[in-house]
Amino acid sequence: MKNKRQSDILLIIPAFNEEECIERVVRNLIEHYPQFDYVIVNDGSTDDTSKIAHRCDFNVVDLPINLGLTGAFQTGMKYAAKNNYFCAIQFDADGQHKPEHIQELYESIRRGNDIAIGSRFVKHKKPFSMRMFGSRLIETAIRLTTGRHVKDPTSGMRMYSSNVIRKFANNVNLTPEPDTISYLLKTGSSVDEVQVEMDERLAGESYLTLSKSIRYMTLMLTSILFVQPFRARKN
Amino acid sequence: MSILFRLLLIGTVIFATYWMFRMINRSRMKISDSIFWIFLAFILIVLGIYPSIMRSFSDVLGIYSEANLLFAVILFIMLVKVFLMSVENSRLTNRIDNLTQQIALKNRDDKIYLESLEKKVENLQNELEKGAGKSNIKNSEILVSESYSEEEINI
Repeated sequence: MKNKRQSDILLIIPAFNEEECIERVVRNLIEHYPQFDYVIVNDGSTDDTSKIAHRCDFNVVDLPINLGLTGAFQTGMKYAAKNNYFCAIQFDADGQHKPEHIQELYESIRRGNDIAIGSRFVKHKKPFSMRMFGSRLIETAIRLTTGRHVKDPTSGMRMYSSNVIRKFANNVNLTPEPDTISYLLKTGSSVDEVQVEMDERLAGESYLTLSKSIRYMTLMLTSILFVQPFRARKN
Repeated sequence: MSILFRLLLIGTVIFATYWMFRMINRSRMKISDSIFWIFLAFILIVLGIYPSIMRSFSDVLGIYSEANLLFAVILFIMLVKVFLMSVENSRLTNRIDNLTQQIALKNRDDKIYLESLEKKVENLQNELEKGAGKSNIKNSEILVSESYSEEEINI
């Protein structure tokens, strides 16, 4: 298991029951993108995810119980803060994120941005589908409360600079979700969007069902519209 | 509902909401846990501003006082909320127990493994000493347990 920091950039790979994709995705990183460090955060998987990761001698942190994406990602941020990484990016274990774009996001952070979002819709238009309906709602909510037009607010491929890493590592209310982007925008962080492409999921099941999606949208919209405006001011 | 009652209602809700945002700011409350209270605050403020809503419901139900209906509704919501919180409490306690057990068993496994490593190192040192017979072997004594630190977990 790798222990020492070798790169400026850390890929945080939250993984819950990703036994079908994890080996392929991480081997691709090791073989073709060795310039990046990575850490797999096994979120209490009940399948063979952990077994496979250890068998392949990947750099993996095993959480004893399932915390959800927020908890797993925060674990990765704590790891990044502890090892003094210059920047950290959330990288999905299901193969949807493409490592080709990491370099551009890194350069955006180098230019002084606090957050660089890998956005699918900077140059391309967002399609008018059910899937994108939720994204449009959130986009509008963020524009109403911050004035900033974030074209792909639900993209998980976000890179964070070191001072944002430290904030995430210490605060439970900073989540890898769009309402946190809205909060950070309001408190003066610079957010940049970089055009990327994403693939469809390689294998396995997605986490979202209809009821979960509705609950998620309610939480996000309420948080962005009614919580973040008051939260920022009282700081 | 008298005007004083409505003002008290709205005032209390606003104060409670302000207090809740302070909790969020100090990281003592998670935003997802606050959503229920935000919705409730919103509904109560609307009812305080438009008492005619309560009037129509109490007429339909045959209840003389709108304030009584308001109390009854709030009590019912509170019962449901407290029940759900008991369920969540059980879930959290289970997770803590689970974690505690895992940590305890893991600590024991780690100690056993470390002891076996220390024994191996001791044996190797002894063999080296027998072979070389020099005292500078002692300088390279490796204490395995020094590089292993147990972090305290605060719940």
